[in-house]
Amino acid sequence: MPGSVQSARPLADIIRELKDRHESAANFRLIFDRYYGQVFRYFQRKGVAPEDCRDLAQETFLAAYTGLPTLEHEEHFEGWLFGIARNTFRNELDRKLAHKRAGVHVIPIKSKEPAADSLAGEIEDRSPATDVMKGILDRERFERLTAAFREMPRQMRRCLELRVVEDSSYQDIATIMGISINTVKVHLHKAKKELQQKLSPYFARLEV
Amino acid sequence: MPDETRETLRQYVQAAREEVEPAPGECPGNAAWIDYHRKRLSPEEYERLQSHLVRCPACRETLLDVADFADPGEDPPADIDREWGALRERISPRRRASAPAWQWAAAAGVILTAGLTTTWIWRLQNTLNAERTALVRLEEQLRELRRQTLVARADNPQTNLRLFDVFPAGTETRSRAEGALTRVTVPPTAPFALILSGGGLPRLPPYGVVLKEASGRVIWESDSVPRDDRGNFVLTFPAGFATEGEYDLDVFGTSGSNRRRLARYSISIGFSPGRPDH
Repeated sequence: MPGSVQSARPLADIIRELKDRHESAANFRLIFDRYYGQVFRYFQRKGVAPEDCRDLAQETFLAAYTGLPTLEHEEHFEGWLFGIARNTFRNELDRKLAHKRAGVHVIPIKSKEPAADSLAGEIEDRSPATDVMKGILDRERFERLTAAFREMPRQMRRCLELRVVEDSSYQDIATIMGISINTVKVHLHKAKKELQQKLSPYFARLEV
Repeated sequence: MPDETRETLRQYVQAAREEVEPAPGECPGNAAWIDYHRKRLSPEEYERLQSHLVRCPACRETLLDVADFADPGEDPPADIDREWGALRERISPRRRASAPAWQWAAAAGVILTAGLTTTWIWRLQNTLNAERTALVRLEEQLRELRRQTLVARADNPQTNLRLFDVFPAGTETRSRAEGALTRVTVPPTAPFALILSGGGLPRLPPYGVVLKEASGRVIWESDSVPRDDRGNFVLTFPAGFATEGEYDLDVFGTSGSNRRRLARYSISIGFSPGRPDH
């Protein structure tokens, strides 16, 4: 980074001195050099224009400088700085949204039946007199699926949950699980195969 | 065996997950997510946080944000020395050099000129004040007129838009006298707007609105409905949007990671013969 001053001093020491307002500017420069790129890239990855990234980065570091005396644990500085950058971005988003019109236009959506919040709710709502067999089948399918779930390796199961329940992208699953996208794909492929093998009499088609 | 839709499978997996994965518990702070992302945790702690993530949408969002923050990348296209200079100006008072003599002379000249012009400005100001008072009065009248003829979209006003004030069920309003049901009578071809009175509702943005038929069928929903400065929600309906009948509008707020229903508004739409709109 051009003009940056790298320091071998531990970050916690620099922050402690800063909190005591000792050599404030010089010490804060060290922090600035170390984290400016990170803060700038955060806004950039959020789709903010480069000129605005500079402004938001300035706001973030100004708020960090002002708020440093309130930081309780020096070793949590990076998380604390991230919190400030996140709030700065959200405030900017709120400010932009506030400029938009006050009302919304209602556009009808396609027919949608009231969704059951959970499988249990769906089963309870069903009248036993009219749908006893369906209820029994649902319960059995649920038990089979839960059993198959328990037997699955933990990481594979979690990938499947994130994909099916949360509709997360492969990239997001990889980030959340701390694994590569390829590993996510392999897990999902194996999970699908495994479920198909164990549950084919109960589920006609499993789309993962 | 019926064909399984993705939605059905989702419901089964969600229910199974709740049996297998422990409930998320208290959310860890940002620092923990940075450590998680950088894999600086013990295997036990890493496993605990991963289990939390699978069940906690708010923390998943935080972690994805942390990745945007912590992942390495190219140097920013900014001159860091210049950026530091700009910040330095804001965090520490600028050291002032003593001004040269010509600057003092120029300042004296400016002060003298300012003195002379002040008298002239003072006279002008008296006249302006009287006019300003009249202008403020006019603005107040204009605001009142605007309030009375409020349209949902300021950027695209529709002069033929019919407006209906709707109050939440259970409030002491004129709608209560009518069984908490607001009657909306419009010609079938006319657009209209509902002003959902939200004055007494708590501030829990972002707000969502779900419009349902009496049967429970959802015909419209939005997760980001803005609230105006009076606390109301303005919804504009295009001509021919709905058939005659009764509808419920549920307004939701957001409290932490939970969506909370703030109010229900009940309306009954009826068609009047009316003049077709052009």
